[in-house]
Amino acid sequence: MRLGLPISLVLHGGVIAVGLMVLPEPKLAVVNTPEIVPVELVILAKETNIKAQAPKPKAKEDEPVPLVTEPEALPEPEPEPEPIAPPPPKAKPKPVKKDVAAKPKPKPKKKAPRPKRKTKPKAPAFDLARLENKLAKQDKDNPVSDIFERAREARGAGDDMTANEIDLLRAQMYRCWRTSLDAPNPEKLKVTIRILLNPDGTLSSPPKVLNAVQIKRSGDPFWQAAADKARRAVLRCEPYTLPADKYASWRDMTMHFTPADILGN
Amino acid sequence: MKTANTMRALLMFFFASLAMPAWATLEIDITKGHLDPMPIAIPDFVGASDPEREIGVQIADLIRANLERSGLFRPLDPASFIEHQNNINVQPRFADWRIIKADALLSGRLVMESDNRMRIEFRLWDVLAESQLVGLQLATTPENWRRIGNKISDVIYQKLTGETGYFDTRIVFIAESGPKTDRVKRLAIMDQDGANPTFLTSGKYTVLTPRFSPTAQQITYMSYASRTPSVFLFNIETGRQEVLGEFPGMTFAPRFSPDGTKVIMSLVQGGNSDIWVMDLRTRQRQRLTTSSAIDTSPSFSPDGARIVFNSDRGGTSQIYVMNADGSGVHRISFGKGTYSAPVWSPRGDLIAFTKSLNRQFHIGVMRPEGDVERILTTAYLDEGPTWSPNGRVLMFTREPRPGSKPHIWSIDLTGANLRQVPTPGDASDPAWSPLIQ
Repeated sequence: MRLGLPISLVLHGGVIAVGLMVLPEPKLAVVNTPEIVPVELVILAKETNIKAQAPKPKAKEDEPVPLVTEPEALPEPEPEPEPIAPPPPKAKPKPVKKDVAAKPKPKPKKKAPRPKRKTKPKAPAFDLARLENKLAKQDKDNPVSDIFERAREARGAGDDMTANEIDLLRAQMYRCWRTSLDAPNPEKLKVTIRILLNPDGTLSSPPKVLNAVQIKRSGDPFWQAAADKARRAVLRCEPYTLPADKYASWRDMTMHFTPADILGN
Repeated sequence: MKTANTMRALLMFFFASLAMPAWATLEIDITKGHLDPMPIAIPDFVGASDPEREIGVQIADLIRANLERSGLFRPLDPASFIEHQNNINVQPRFADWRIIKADALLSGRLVMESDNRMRIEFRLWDVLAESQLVGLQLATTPENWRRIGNKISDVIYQKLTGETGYFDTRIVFIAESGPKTDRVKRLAIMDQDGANPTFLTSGKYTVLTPRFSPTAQQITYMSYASRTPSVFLFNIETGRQEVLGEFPGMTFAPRFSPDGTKVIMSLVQGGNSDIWVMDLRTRQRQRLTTSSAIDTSPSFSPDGARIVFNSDRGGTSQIYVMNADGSGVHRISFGKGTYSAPVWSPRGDLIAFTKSLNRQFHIGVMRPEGDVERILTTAYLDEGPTWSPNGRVLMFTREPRPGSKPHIWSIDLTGANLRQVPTPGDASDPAWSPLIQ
């Protein structure tokens, strides 16, 4: 009985000691934790519907539309097209096709109602490229550095679009983009467009089809039409509804339009 | 050599760095869009006099109806237009058209000239890009206004979809009348929208399966006009009709080759049907299949290199593809049910067919490799598809219920936009013409 207590104590102590030795503290370094991506906890469907279906109308559309423009000197109409020589007498003369001489002259007054565009948008809140360089350097110097902190620095600043916000943008594009799913081999009709935006969501310059040369060279009328459709979608969706505080991340966007699903699949 | 490679690599790096944006751009993949019809504004064509304005309204009405029927466009109600153009040679006020959500605008003008001719000018505008897509003028006699309207519709369709149009085309079909036991079946022709129907044969003898030549105003069909039912050629302009070749047996299911120089058909000899091809200039004929099964309904691929046909050599009626010389026969249909009347799309990417499954008939399409089969229609009897010349729309015969009268219907190859085509009476077996030259 007397011996029982010390033996019990020693054995218990031994078990604890063994436990401490066998189960060491996990090493932080081996844990491959992904970067933290800030996610807003909102119901996607609700937000998607609201934002996508009711884009803010353009400022100019808010103003009453003048039914009659101020009288202004109209440009001289182009010279009348040459009358076409009558074809040889036939029961049903064939229609003759000919290009109308020249494009009509635009109105002398330049397109006024377009919202003012800032040619030089505000500098971004931070330079992502520089930050990435910095991070790369940090990585080299200190490979097992505090990854959580690094993630917060890179992504947690709130300047990157969240998955929800990108979905919102996709929902806007869905409404504006008439796909080429009904063309033969639609999955090959990829169109890449770069757009530059003002902080108010309007385009700061005309959209640019980055693979225009490739499309033109292909001679594929469906691809050309797909490029027109994508360009039209980008124009129709203006102004874009995007988080104002993240302007730096969406001021310059490249959209890859690819009809994804094959009909019937 | 090594130096040259290094130099090239450096140069490539230099140009690549030039192309790179100043800072990272947000890359987004857009894969989902809609297939809604495109909103387009088509005001009545302007004219200086009442007769001009009258035809101007008719032409605009025709274009609006054509584009609406295609299922790819939604012509906007002219009552919603804000700008009323009097001069089509001045750039429109794009903002006015953007407000009513028009993506495109067609402005047209009509001028009557002396010697009973009229000139039609039109401009198609891209409202969003604020640019002119096309500006053309056409001249004709006033009674030809429908063709002008169809031609303008084709230009719009082509500019905005990338595909050639199909509005300036005609349909030949079998006009049916009389009781079921004593049906009169006459060859008839009409515009693609059902206007101007005309009978081409008298109805004294039955005519079946008319097919348009892809290159000329010529039709081939099967007729009971001679002792043995045979394949005939018919010139629409002259009305001249002739038996195609003196074959020792019944010939049927004829169809032109894509270049219009040959006719491919079935010939029945001793209860066995095989596929033959005949050169229209030399009148030489060649047998392409020799199996003991029923081989019929041949149709050339648009490049003329292959032929799709229907055969029961495997036990049931299925679709097969072979080379134009009859070699390399292989089966492409493997779904449930039986298949017949395959027709190769003029666009080349699909083969349309009639399918019978579970006591119902369907019009469907599949790729020439036989994969990606899609059923487009279902009814008590849907049969005999024919492609629009651009390979976008199919017309076929439908009998909705047992004992009901046949009519012609059309459907888009996406399976949308099913419509009945107006015909003067009962109608079956449509065949679409090429674009009229």
